[in-house]
Amino acid sequence: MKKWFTHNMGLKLIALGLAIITWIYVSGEILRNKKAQTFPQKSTTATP
Amino acid sequence: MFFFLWSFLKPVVEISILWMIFYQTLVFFEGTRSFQVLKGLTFLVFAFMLSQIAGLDTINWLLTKLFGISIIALLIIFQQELRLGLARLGQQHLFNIALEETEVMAIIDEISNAAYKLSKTKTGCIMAMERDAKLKTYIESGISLDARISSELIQSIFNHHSPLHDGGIVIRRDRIVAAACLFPLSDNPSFSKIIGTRHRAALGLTEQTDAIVIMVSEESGEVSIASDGRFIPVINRDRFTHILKNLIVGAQKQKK
Repeated sequence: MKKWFTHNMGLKLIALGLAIITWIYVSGEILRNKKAQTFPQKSTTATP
Repeated sequence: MFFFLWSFLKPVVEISILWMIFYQTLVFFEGTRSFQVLKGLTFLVFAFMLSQIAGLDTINWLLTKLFGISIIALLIIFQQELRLGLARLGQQHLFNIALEETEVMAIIDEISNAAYKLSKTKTGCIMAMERDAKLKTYIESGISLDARISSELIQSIFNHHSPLHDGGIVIRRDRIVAAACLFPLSDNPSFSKIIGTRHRAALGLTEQTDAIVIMVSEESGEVSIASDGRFIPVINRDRFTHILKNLIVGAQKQKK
């Protein structure tokens, strides 16, 4: 198990960093879209 | 209770899957020319994410347009890797009917015998052992043989007076299927320019396929083994046999 962690550690850390950042970014986007669907912004333009 | 636990576990599972995908991608590209491109691409993705978070609309607009255009460029840059990746996905097991360990040992014995005899006379040679990826393209570049493998035959092929000595031989199972084959040269910048054409060809073939390549240097008479785009250090004949056995028998055992 220890060998698995120490083997190619640099790449593993970079991959973990990328995975965390991607997850945070995508989760944020999904949340924003959900919010936008639940509370749609009222149009400010005048309608006839 | 389960849903409560799952809501905590879900991010961990998702991040773990993403981690595995990113790691495998990085390992796949490591040591290749495309790794530098991948690094640059990662930087661009980072910049894109940051620009979105910080609300830098101009940068964001520019990067969005850049990504749109760069898809075609990426397909061209990663053409070789994509081809190789897809080829590996669809590969069939080589030693389709696995050879017995005694048969493998007999083949290794013939190869090692030939390699060390050629090494003594400083006769250059390059031998590719086919595994999962078919070496048909390279076989077609040479002269068809289809002869049972033997140390004497290998030595005859690589004899300077033989018309077949230029190029490499391809070994499939226990047969030499072709000689005088042309192998692709590696243009990996991480390897010193000191290495000769024969070594570059060995690396090139192992980068593009999963073949094992054995070569003898004409200058030093040194015997080397290459696999997966890397050279494996060979100190003596016992070590040579051990490495080759591990590469062939080990791979067969993994498939079982």
